[in-house]
Amino acid sequence: MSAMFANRISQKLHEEHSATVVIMERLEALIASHRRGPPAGKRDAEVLLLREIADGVESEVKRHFDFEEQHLFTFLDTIGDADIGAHLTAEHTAMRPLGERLAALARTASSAGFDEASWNEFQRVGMDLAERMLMHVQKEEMALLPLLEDAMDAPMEARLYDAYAANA
Amino acid sequence: MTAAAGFLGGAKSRLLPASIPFRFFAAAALFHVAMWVVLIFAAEQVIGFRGGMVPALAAVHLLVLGVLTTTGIGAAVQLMPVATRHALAAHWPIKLVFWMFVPGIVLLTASMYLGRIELVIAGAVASTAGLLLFAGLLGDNLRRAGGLPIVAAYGWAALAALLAVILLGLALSVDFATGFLRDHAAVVRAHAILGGYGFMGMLALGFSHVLIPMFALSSAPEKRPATAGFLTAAAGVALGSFGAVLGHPHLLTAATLVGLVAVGIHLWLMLRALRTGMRKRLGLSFILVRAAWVSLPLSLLIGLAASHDRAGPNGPALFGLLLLGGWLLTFLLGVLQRILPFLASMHATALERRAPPRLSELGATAPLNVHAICHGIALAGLAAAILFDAGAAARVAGTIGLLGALAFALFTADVIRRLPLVARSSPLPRGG
Repeated sequence: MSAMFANRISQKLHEEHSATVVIMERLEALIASHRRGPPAGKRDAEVLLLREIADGVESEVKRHFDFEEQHLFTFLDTIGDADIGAHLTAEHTAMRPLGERLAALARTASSAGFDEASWNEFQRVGMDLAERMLMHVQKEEMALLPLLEDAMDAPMEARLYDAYAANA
Repeated sequence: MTAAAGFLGGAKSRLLPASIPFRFFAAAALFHVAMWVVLIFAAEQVIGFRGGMVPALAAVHLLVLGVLTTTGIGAAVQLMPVATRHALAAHWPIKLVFWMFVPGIVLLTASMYLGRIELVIAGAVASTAGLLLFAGLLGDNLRRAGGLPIVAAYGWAALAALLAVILLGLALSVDFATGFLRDHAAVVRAHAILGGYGFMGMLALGFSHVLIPMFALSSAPEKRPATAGFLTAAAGVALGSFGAVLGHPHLLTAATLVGLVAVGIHLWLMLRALRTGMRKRLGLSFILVRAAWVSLPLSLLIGLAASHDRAGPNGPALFGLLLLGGWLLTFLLGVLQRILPFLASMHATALERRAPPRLSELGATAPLNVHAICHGIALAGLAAAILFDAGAAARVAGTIGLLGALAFALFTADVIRRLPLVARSSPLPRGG
């Protein structure tokens, strides 16, 4: 993947966003293709997809969100740009429980399959999360990452990149 | 920072009160309905329309001024301050634009429908006053758009075309009463090119450089091809306008060829943005956007054929349908159905301790499905009616278009209705 951002943190978050968008679009496609009931069998592709959803969503709502809130939004706060952090934190707060629940449902289903009730919940939570996540990524791509690129000097970038790498 | 970044990066101060942009969008939705109603009643004239003080002229102006320009003003006054990161000095001038322009359109189009020439002039003057004030606001904002050279260049070109189209429009309305123009039809053609490809077209192409990458999550188009696209588009509009005024078919042919190059560059940039964008599933709105992209070069080709009398007896009407309905209206409706809920979400998240609403909570999707189907059938039906000179078929197509416009108006009203409701009724999910 060619670099879109000179700032390494923006670039890393951008790459994570790309992976998240792919997973969310695959999640939407899975739900759309089984509107009337759960996937019938435990096909290898579906099992793999459910595991990827579980891992990808968990990583996004834990490590990615936590890094942004603990390091990036506090940095933006110090340079007088608190609004964007507050806005995106509110979205994280709305998505965290959805992501955790979806990851748990996907992990269980990857080994035991879905029943009617778990599939209904997976659909509801999945659509809610996918819609919120895609809009959230859009806002971060268009606002947060360019802002970091503009506002962060090299020493701060190095310090925060170390913090990012330590959690990777 | 990218243009769209301003929406979040401290942009609350540059976000207008919701009532300001939404009043333009609401008015445009109503004009959209009115346009189809007039088209149904004037179906026989519409399919062979070549200008003149007839009810079909009212339908054309309801579309161009009522729907396209009104929406363009609402979008521009909200997007430009955000994109340029310079807030407007005051809100009252925009409200004044609305109160001069919208009643002016009502008067202008009603008097066109009724054939009341003295009232046409009064309506033209009122809507012109609103447009001139808007031009001043846009120009003031464009002066400060240093970080967005391509968008600003399209904006300046649109502004120049707007001033020219106003001048020609006023001349045409006075000419209905006095007959002072030597070649009324030539000025009509220049007025149409400047309005369709010049003002609205350049605005649509310019905003595409911000909006399409924003929706697809891709980087902004590269500067060099984007500059080439702008220069060829501006040259095409200028050549076409002069060719029309001078009645010079070779100049019109050259304008079309230059225009086709501009369209080729633009579509290449836009398709590249889609191809390299993170989002692949762009939904219903992009079906409309893609259909509009097909209509744009088709309109040029039919325009070229019509200018050489090779597009059949109703060639000019088919050209108008492809330019105004196929390209501009379809593109605008496709983009608008994404912008309205997004803009509403920015207002709805202002309250603390509330989960930000999902976009689907800010506007029903069923009316959009109905609209897209009806819009497609209506335009295809109208094109067939024009080709086969069938007034009854145009009336049926118009009725289907009216259903679609009602569905879109319902969607717009729903977004406006839900705006304060969502902010009140969306508690944070458990654990939040």
